[in-house]
Amino acid sequence: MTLANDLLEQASHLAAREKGKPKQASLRRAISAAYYSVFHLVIADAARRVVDVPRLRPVVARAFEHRKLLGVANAIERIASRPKDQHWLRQHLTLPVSGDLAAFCSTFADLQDRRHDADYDVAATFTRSDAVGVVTLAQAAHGAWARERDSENALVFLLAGAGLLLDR
Amino acid sequence: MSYVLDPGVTSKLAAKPESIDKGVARVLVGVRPDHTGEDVLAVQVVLKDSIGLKKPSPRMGDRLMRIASEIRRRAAELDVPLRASVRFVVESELAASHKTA
Repeated sequence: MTLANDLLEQASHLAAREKGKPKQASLRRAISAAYYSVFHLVIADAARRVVDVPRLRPVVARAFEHRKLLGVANAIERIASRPKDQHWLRQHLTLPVSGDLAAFCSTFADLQDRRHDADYDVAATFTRSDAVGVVTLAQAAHGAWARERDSENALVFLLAGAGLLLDR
Repeated sequence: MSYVLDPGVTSKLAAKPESIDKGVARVLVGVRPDHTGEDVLAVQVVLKDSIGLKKPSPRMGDRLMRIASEIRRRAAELDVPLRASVRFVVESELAASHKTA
């Protein structure tokens, strides 16, 4: 099992535990773990595709930042839905962007937003369906990424997310 | 300055939810900042209770992704310049769900 899969399994477990009235802590950690499962899925693949030397992969994985990946995910989603709009990343992508990659990118952005609420918005109250919905989407994102991971456009996402494709 | 949604755009985004998926009761649309402070088109998809979100399932995940994609496609066709942030909630938990669109 990979860390990404373990986190997804943990998220699923936390979202389903405590029948009746679940603890807010369980629901929040389920949402957070669901996002991190997708984040680690991406950075592990990025390290695998970019670095030949296995011992260097964990070091390279540390270079990824949540906000930069979010920016690239938003850009690819935008290019997918509005292909005539101008964006510097467009020149690197093969159009049209597949439905799987577009769905993955938009889900990544949504999951990151939910994770921020779950981890930092202490005024918020979450329901079980909130948490189950997020975990369910994370599972779907894993599936979409598995179908798309070896494509050139996925590599563009990974390289831009690592800051290796620049706007110049 | 916040983006102001045209009421016509709002109604088109929220129209006939059953054409998106039979399990959708309604779609709520608004604008809110995301965690980076950027305005997003905040879409809350209210699912019928019969659909249930009691435990995670891969098949339901694909269905939710298709619903979100359809709403994003609508937003793109309507030239909404904001990213559509889509959240799901079941009808009976709408009031208790942590944030409304």
